[in-house]
Amino acid sequence: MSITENNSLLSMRNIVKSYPGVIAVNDVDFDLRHGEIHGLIGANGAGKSTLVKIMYGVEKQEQGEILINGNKVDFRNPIDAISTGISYVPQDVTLAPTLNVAQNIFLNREYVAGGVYIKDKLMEREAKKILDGLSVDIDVKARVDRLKVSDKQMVAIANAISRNSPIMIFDEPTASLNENEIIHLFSTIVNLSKSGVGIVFISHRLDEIFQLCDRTTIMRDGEKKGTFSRGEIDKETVINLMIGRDLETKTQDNVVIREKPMLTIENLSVSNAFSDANLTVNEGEILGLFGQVGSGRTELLQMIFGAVKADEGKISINSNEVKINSPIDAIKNNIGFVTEERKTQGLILLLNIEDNISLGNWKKVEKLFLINKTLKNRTAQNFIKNLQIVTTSSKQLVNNLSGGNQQKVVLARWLNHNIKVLLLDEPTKGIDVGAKEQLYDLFDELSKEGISIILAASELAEIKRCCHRVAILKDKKIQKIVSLEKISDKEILSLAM
Amino acid sequence: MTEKTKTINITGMKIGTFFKEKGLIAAFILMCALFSFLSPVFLSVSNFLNIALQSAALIIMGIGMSLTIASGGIDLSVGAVIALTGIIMGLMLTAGFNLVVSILVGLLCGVLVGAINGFIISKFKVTPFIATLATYTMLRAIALIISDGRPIYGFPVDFRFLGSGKLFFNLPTAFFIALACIIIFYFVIEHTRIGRNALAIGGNKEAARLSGINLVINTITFYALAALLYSIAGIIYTARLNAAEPIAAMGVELEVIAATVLGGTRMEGGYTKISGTVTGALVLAVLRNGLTLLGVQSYYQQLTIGVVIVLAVLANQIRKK
Repeated sequence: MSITENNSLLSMRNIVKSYPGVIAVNDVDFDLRHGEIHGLIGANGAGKSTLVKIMYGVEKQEQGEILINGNKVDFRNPIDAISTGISYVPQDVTLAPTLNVAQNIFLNREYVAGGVYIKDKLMEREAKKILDGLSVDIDVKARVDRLKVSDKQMVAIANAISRNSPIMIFDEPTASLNENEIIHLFSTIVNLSKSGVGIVFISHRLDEIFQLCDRTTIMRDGEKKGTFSRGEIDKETVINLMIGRDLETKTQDNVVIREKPMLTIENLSVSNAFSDANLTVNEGEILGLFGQVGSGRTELLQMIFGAVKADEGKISINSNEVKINSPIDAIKNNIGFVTEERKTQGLILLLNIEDNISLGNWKKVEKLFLINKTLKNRTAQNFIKNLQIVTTSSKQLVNNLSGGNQQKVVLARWLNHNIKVLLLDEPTKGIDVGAKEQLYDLFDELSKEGISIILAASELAEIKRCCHRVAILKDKKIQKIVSLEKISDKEILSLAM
Repeated sequence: MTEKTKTINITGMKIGTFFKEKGLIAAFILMCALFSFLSPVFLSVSNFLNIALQSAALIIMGIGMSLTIASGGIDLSVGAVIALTGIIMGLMLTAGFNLVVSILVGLLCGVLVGAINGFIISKFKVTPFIATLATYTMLRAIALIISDGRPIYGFPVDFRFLGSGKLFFNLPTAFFIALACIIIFYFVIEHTRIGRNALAIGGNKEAARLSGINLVINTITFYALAALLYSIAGIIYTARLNAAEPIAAMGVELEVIAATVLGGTRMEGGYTKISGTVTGALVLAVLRNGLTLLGVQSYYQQLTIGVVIVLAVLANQIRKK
């Protein structure tokens, strides 16, 4: 494929795409130049992911055209996009779970001898080289469904990068990565752009965008709000364009935390998953769990919720010991758990908002043993209003909502259960600035109402914004629990690393 | 949970990894030991040859089923394909066509049926259970129609040879046909892109799609290959009985699925082991054989087999943890 300096590598004009009830992409233009890193930012639901899905042939636009090197193309499916030289790392990691790392990296591009026999050993060696190039250490023979989330993300990235495509699309590639991995990924991306590859980079982390991107396009509510070159615009203006209003900087109120302990765990452990956890959360308190990927945040929450049964230790609610051997026990004791992966663990994507909210709590909306549609609807409407869920109707399929709104539906379901303790695992992952703030405000409200919250997060800023105290985790142990007023950022980070 | 065993290299295959399912094999050996203790006839060459013959068809069908289940689907048209293949070959032989042509036409019909299954499933997005159930119904009807509801008897000697004849070492021809299928399809599933694509599609269809795998062409291939195997099994069925019946192999689907599941293939898709399916089929064959030798009535045989399947699947679940 010959590439001329001035022509666009990829050009999209007047793209329109809609789903039932919402225009996801509304007459958007986008162009990508040879050797540029072009950032794409916007609030959740702004249309970024939809736009790139159209670029890759996953979705088809209703109107508008796409040109590659000046030639009009018609993508019916990803196969067409791949053949014109586009690679894509989707936002949610999509790998073949029963195949290993090497097999996933080379999926559909396997090395074959005599056109038939797949050379797995050779692929394993080549995969190792690719991962080394990204400074990542993953066992290439490991089955992919057994990897931790950040490793899965690296495998997906390795798959795309090793295709040596002239056009690459990254949709939130750093969501699950740690600092080190991000640094290496960025240097790889910069090197790729230097060799002429055109890169589309979606991220909700504005610092990353400003650091990496030659140009940035901002979208809001399905429309393009502007394209700016590096240095042409500052953080505040970007946020304004993204959200359409000024962000208030929230400071923590001086909330009086009630002294009454709500949840206490003593010596809680699961062999090989978490050792000897001890902590107490008072009524209305927000306790942070801060640690890097792999520190045991999720495992600890799973133990408290009974998703994983504890081998030792005890749990007390309101100073009374309780037996929590399964999520059913946890729910009976008014504990709720918002998991890390809302799409696979928190929601039934093919059901609508009403059903997801009332899920498992049918008694509340039953009349004479039958589910009463009016009650179910009213319950949903209440939450849609109180949590400001953006949707055209309570009967909208949850699959069609943006990430932030999906998360609100999950929260609504738990609030519907009248929980007293709320466990949150990376609740704002993959959610944009505006929606994040809304969720933080919501957590503040809940804490004021006396609900105890444990918030597990890997972003220190989030912990500091939301929590009263923080438990620092490392290597599947609690290192220290301390009030956020009494410890410095440096100390927290050094305990966690 | 993977145990390493001695590996013997034969043209690139490692028999050690071939028999990873230690649990099932242990159970198999135990069962054989039990039967040889209870029945004097069990542990004899002629009985083992009998088992080899009886399990051949099941093994071949199991391999086909494994492929479709691994790809995230299922195939309920097994028995119908067998019956139809038999009838078609019978009609052609009776009409005077030579052996090779008749067999090829029979196999071709099987492949066509499979391709139609795959097409309906992938192009029209009909769930495999329903699609193959529909095909099953239609094929049974077609078999009845073209045979006029009557069995076809009197197959030529060289045809019958494929079912009940003997080849090298006094082993039945059917055994060698099954062996060839095992070797070829072990290779296809483990070492070719067809098998790789099946595992990818069955494991995560979206991942397969994003990698540029053509879901339609691949699905058609899986079901066509599976149906080819069912047709081959159909040859053995018909040859052994020396008759092609439109109602042949009624209800065989469940036994085939049982053999596949016993062997460790996951119903959700994405994972299968040919060695496991073969062992599963052998377990079922030995079970039937042993119970028959002990004079157990067929209804109780059915019950025992059902219990064994449940126990085996439970054992598998426990091992997974």
